[in-house]
Amino acid sequence: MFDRFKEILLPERVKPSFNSTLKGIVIRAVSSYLAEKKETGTFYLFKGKDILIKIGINKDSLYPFMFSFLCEGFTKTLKYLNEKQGYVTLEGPSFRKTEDCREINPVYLLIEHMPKNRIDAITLNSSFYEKEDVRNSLFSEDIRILLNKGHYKIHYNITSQNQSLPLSDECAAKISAVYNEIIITDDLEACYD
Amino acid sequence: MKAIIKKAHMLRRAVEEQTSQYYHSTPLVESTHRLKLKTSAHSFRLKYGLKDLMLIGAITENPILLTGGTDLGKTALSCMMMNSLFGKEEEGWHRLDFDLDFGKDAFTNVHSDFFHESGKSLQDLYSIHKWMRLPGFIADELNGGHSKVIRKAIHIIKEKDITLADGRRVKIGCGIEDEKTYQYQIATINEGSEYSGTFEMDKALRRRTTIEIPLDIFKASPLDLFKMKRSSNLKIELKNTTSHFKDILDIFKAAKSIKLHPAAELFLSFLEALDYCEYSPTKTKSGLEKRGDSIRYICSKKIDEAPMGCRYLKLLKEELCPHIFGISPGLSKDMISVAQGAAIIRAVKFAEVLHDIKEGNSYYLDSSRDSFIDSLKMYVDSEEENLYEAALTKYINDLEVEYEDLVDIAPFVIYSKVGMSKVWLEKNCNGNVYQGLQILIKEACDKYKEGIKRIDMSNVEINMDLHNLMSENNPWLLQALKPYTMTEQKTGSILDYV
Repeated sequence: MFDRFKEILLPERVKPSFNSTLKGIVIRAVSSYLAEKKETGTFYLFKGKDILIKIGINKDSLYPFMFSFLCEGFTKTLKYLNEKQGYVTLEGPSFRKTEDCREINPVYLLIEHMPKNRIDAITLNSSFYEKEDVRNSLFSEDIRILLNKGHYKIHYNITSQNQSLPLSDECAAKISAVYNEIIITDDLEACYD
Repeated sequence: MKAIIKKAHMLRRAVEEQTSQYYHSTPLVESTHRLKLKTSAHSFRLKYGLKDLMLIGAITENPILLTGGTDLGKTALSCMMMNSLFGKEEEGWHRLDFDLDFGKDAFTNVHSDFFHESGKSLQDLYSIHKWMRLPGFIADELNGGHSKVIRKAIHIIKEKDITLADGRRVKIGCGIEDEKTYQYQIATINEGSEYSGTFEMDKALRRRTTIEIPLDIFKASPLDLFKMKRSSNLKIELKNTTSHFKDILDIFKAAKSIKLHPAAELFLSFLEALDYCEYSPTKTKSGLEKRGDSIRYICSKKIDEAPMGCRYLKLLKEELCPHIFGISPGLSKDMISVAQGAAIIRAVKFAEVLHDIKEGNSYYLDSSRDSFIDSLKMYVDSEEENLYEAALTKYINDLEVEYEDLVDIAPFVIYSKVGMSKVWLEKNCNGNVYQGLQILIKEACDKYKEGIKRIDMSNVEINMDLHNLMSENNPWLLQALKPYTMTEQKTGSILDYV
């Protein structure tokens, strides 16, 4: 019987580990398109050179799944970034379409869960701001939040899913007036160089 | 056992379905469990929600205490749980409001026709209300009456044994076998000085509610709140008319037969041994009078006129030792009972893990899906075609209450019963009991594992080496190990020779 005490100390056969060659992490929220369609399947929450976490979507419990995974995903990213300096890209339109989804906005989650010195740059994918009528105001607000929390280098990725979603000149001018490090790009890979 | 796990799976599904109007996706427990292989283990992650914990209460017949501020839906949740498990109100369960009027009339029937009919004995005058025999019971606002009056409820909650006005003792709950009864009880309370209509809950009554869930700490997530706003249902509907009582009883009986893994058994002894006190005359903390809510005063004593601090004072974080007591043997039994239910729900969840992996996902894993499949093959020791079914069968056949099960349920069982000092909590956790418990459990787990790592378990003997090793830095494990090395003395009598 006594040898069974030590069963709780059995070593892990496979140690959970992240690939050290990973350079960029894309946090991809599940798109609202899928939410509306209530599709069931596997999506990638983290994606980079290696896939870190996949998420399963259960159509009956779609929203709780998405939310809990986002939170969990950020915690894991944080753990990873504590070891490796990495790039973080936020991608996905799902939670930033309307004002009332603010509490589950990935931008909020990101800045709440990550120390600023661990983030080299944030790419705000234009697909976050898919709806034209709210794009400029929401984008400005996100920028304001990020600025309040620290000095991040922010990329705005203009093209999403072959769709160009530019900011208004007025918005771009307003932001660049207070923050000159914002880079508007249509090349996601360029963010990692 | 496989049939039981399937029943538990169906029951859990029914509960989820029937309580879907109560939005609560915040996990209460997030833990790592391990698939044990010959020389290694493979981890997977599990989460237990609010309804899982309440279901554990039902399948182990352990009373639940829901605490928290008003407007959290405690009563609504209790009703939905009861409805999903036992069907219609008054047919499968009853809800009683505890207030200043609570007394024997609340549960006793006095037959007025007794005085008019002849041939009746005094026994016919009093009987308990029919609903006291139902399998489900909600004690709503249990602290709503004066604690000296409500103390009567001590015989209802868990004990299920009350005295009628004529002195007869009566068992409450639904009869199952050999005069045993079953009744799943949920109590709710609003707690705090701002609830002026409530009274402090009697310690003994609180002790009888085995699983305590502080809803203030596990509030609904922003998404739940969002869904609540969107929901068009203003009134909770209790639609279920089917009672699952028979299935619950089958699971309840099976849960009782689940054995404790030796490491879990030793861990419980370890938690009990936290009551050990080097400087106490009785060697126990519980034998000492508290001063200012802890026994910190005992931690230094004069030896040859010089004050000597206890060598164990710094072994636990933030000098925790004098601010906590070990768990009592009764609490230890409660933990076993609740953990038996947790083991059943764990097996149900393991089946979900396997299903997820079979479907090509790896939601529950920190490692790759392929490596877990490899581990499954090692686990069943074959390349069987029906790998997942074989793995589940083995997992269920080997089902024991694991050390991890105890860790999972511990905060809810010992919540207000382990006697943590308020002063210590205030200083280290801003008064948050749950946070204090997390520290206590983590410290206990670390110390327990560290101790086990150090000793040769293939030959546990309390020899001088082990004694010296343990008495230096782990007196609690030393105490916990003692019974394993003792042999029972044969009792003899001179009469044997006469």
